[in-house]
Amino acid sequence: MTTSNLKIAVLAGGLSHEREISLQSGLQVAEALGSAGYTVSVCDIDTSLVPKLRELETNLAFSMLHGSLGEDGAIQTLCEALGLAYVGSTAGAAHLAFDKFAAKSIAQAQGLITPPAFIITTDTIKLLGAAHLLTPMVESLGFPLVVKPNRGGSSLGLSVVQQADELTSALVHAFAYDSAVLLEKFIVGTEVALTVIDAVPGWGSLPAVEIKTGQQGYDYTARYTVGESQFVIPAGVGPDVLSALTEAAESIHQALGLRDYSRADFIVDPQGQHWFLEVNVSPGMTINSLLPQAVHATGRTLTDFCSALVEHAYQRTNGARFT
Amino acid sequence: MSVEGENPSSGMVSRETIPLLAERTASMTASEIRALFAVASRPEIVSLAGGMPYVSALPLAEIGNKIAELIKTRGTYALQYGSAQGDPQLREEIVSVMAVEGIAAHPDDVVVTTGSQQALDLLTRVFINPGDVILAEAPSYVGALQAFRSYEAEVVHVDMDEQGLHPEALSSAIAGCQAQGKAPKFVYTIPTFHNPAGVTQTLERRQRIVSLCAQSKVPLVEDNPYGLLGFDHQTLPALRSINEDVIYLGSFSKTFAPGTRVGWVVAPRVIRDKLILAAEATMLCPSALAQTVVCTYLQEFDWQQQITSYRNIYRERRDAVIETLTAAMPEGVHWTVPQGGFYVWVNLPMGIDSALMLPRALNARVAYVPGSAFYSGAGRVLGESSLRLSYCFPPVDQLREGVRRLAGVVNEELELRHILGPTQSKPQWRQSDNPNVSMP
Repeated sequence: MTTSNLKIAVLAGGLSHEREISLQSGLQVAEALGSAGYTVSVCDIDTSLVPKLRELETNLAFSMLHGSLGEDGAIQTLCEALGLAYVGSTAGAAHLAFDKFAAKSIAQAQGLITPPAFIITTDTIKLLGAAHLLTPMVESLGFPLVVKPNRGGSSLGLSVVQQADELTSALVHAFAYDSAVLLEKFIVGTEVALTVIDAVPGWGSLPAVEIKTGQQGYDYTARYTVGESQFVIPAGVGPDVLSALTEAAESIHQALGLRDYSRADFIVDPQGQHWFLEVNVSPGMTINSLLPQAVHATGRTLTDFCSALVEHAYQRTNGARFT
Repeated sequence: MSVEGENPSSGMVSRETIPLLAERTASMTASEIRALFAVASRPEIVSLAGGMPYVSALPLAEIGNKIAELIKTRGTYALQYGSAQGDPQLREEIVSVMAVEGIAAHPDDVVVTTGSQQALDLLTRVFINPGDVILAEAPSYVGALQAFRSYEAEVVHVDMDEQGLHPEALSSAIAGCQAQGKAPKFVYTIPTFHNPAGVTQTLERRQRIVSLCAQSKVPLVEDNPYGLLGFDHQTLPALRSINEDVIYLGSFSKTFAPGTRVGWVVAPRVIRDKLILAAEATMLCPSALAQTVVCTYLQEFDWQQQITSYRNIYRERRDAVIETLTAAMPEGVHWTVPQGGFYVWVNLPMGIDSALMLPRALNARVAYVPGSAFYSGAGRVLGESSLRLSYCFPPVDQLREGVRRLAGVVNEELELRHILGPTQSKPQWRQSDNPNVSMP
């Protein structure tokens, strides 16, 4: 079979809190792959998925699932169990990257600098007492600090806490999304995202995207409302920092064992030091997302990008059939 | 290769157009809460959020046959443009429907609209300049608040209780606005089976509110989509039946089917004329096909019997929700017991923020609308510890399961609050985090 005859299932939706964004990303990717001549179906995630993949005689899955299921390794596990070729990181690597605290720890072990952070769960708070647990953390991190779910994306459940009396509400917000929550030092600086493309012929890492936002930062509204944020490509942080960022993004991609592509998020402080925040194995592909803008800045299209990933992923399987 | 704020692909939005957009679009933004509602539509979720009428109770096969017949026999009329004011035959039928609630009106007083949501839009368009004040109950219908906001009105909320809008509070609000040189342009109220509060104005209050607005020379807008859906089959007189100056909004969305998008407004002639012109500028005319379908339904089907069926279904569902709330909710949770309509308003113990709790509820596979959606501007804080439950669509067993799941979520939230200690203040949420969800 030539790759142009591939039947591709773009997986999108699901029950994650990021369902809406996932559907938007999925449609963008489906449109891009459709333009390249592939036979593309967008599949939501429910009990009909596996029979549907069979019925469609799917050759390859392209997951645009964000949040749990898509980025925690679950859908990759399914593909692996089914023997279905898929774009992106393996289940194990995705699972590791989805855990922000674990990813930060691995980044640190690689010599990357990441904002100091503590992880807490409701069980530990219950066991130890909120004041006993939180007070030393807050004293160590200082204000402002960031409170966010340990797993999840799109800034959902994220708050920047300016003072002590805002902490409880921020924790309630974050715990509504995940049973584990990060308290992280707030780093003042420029937010930059960098996409690594791994071993896909003809592609290297994409140019860094600088995100300019208003006072509220790059929250959900700023992410997904056209015009709420401005983007500078390549990021205006100077060639030395750009080079260091690329190296750092590639380093974390490699250290976590990620595959095909990933997007790493950093803060560059006024001294030019870059701080690793997190890495995404299924980054957003909406019209307002960072990765598609980085692709376009290279003079190529989302169709070029998605097609390259598909070709690479399919060849990896040596044409093995999913039945 | 340097790109700043623009995207070369034809498939991407050109950011250069953004400065060209009207300033009022600045408040039209993505929001965390709105995004969460994408999950609520999944079948795994028991959605107590949207107020979707149970249209499965309609005689669908018969209606289908009738629509097919209409196209064959009246297609040249039903598929053609019509008058901006609406089909004359339908306006006559609407007058008969309103008579059930004691309203005496003439077909010429009626303007047919694309759902009563459009009537709200037209009214706001003809009354409101940016910054004008509208008085509305606290809480109020989210769709009305959205329409008011889109014309840059300032909504001032007025207290209500289990007997509906409070006349003393209304009097104070009118006086307060007038003292500031901002005479309210109109008072917006849902007197019967209120959305979202589920309460009904008493007859005594109705008379006082009508009288107060007349004395203050503030137009009174009565939104009455649920008036015929009372569980005890009794209907309190509409405000419009007390005073002909009341502007009345009606709808077939709840008594027949929302998919037809047919509503109406009855207004004094001088306002009616402006509404017709505004309607013409907006849509030329309401859908002739939809009007023909509704008109035929009213003429040839037993619509009053259908309303009785709806009442029985919704009463049973209301009972299921109230029984399960009583059995499952922890101490400190309170709710209204509606005597008609679609909604129960639930007050959570102080300190629980229903918007912050929503992701947890979705994890537990149940959805609701956070109370802050039903307030405008700074008033949102008033709805933080409340939520709206809608019982009209899910069957009884799902309603019970949904409320049980919600009770579990409230218990978890209470426990979390308990172990974290009291909340003093919250980080600065964005205005757009207000769950401005578009749902009836």
